[in-house]
Amino acid sequence: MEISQHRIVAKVSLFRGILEWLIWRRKLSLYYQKYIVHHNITFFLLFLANLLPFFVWSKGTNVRYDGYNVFHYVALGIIYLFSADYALEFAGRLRKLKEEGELEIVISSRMGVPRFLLYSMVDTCIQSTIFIIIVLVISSLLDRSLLASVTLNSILFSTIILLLASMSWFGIGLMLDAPFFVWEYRGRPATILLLLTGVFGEIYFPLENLSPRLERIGEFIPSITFVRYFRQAFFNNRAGSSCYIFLITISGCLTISILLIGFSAVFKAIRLAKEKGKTGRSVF
Amino acid sequence: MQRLLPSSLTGVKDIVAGAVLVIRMSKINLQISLYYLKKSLVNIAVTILRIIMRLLPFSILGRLLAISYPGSLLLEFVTIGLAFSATLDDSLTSPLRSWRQKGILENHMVSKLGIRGALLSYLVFSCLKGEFIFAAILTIGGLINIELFPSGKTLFSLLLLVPSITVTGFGIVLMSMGYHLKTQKIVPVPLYLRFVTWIFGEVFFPLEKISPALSSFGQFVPTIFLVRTLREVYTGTLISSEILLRITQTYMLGLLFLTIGFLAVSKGLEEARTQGTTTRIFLGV
Repeated sequence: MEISQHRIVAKVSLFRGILEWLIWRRKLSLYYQKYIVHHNITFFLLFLANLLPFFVWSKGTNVRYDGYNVFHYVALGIIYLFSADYALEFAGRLRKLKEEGELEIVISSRMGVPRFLLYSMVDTCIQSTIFIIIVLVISSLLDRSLLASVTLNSILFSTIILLLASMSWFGIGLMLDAPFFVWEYRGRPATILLLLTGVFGEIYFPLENLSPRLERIGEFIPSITFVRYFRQAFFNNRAGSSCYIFLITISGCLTISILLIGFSAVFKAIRLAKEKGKTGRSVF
Repeated sequence: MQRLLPSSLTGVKDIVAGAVLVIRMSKINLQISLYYLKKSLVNIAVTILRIIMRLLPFSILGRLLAISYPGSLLLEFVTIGLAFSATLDDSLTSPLRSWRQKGILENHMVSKLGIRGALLSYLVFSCLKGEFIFAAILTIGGLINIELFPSGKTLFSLLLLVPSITVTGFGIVLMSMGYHLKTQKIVPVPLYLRFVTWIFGEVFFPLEKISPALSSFGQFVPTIFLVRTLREVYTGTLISSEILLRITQTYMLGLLFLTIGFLAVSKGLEEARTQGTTTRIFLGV
């Protein structure tokens, strides 16, 4: 009897949570509606503009990167990079609110900072999933062989890995933005990290094509692991689903630890900002 | 003497006060300059990383493919395309919009220079910035592959051509701004033009490599003539007299866009004045 009551409570709170998130999402959408539409169109155009040259130049050639077709390799790399970009942007929402002088509203609201961050993370996951679906459709329209070796399992596992990667990027974004709640400087270190990932993160080409010294820089970028797993899972390069489960477990552990550090860094930073009276609008 | 003394003392006081003021001002100016220096250093670092992120993959791909596109290697093709696109992108930012958002559009309208003078001085600044961006991208391309460094004469011709790109871009952005001032609608024409140029403007790949239907669409992109001229000058396929002719043609094109842009803005400002919307408003994205 007690167990069933617990279940009901759990279901009700889950339902309430989803409902709250939907209401929050709706409010935010109304506020950012124009921004979101414009932003998504820009994103897809940017994605196309990034991907097309590789498709055009590598068409009809036998060049391969790590055993993958160049276009396939770059397409998955760019999907990963753009998802990371989305995650960093959503992670920066709270800081943006601080810059606009609306952080106090979030702190004093019933929802509070933890829920705001949690909902932003859910947004990141949903946006990344929608993004991957649309982009895969566009990419496969360009080159049908992209989906030739793909199975339902591989799509599922690769999406899970991508979502875990997005969540870790969300955590990294929180970590990097946390000091700025107290310091009140402009600039986003996350942008530089993203660009470094673009150059040394095996997004556009494998590291082995660089000189040994530069190759070493790439080894320090942790996100390489995610992008490699993502490609392997998508193209069914590993035998058996147990291997995928192993990959997901490793990625999951990494993601959880990064998220925990990110969340605690933001909470600590907001507490410090409160103590110093810096929760108001930033003055530059 | 007694009458002179106080006044001369006042003069000394004035000088001291003036000197103190100058020192204070220079201190403030130094702080401001340092702030902007820091900001621009970060901006420059980010821009360089962005350029490397775009050029390096093509350099590696070109090396593996050993492509020799008629008269130019893949990296060469992309470097010129990227330099062109970055210069055009930079010129596609509208000063009118930011002036209006900051609430200083009215000030420019009633100033001695007037709005046209302010726009022209902004254009001169943009041209200089464009030259710098173009040269920077060529340098980075040259650092990736030493053979890409152009000769002195070619570089001179290229730098002569670059302002025509800025003028064309500025003309286009003024046209869209004219429409925007009139209707108050947000139509990010320059942004979409940027993507159309990237995809169909022979920036990263030649049109003949895509399907005939799409490549015929590319012929209507107004900037395609500019990027082709840049490549021809860069690869040295033109003789001196032809280069001069091409430079004149590109400037004619740029001036045409600029004239239409100025007309559109004048018309737009007139409408905005009658509607009373020249003051600060929220323009969204």
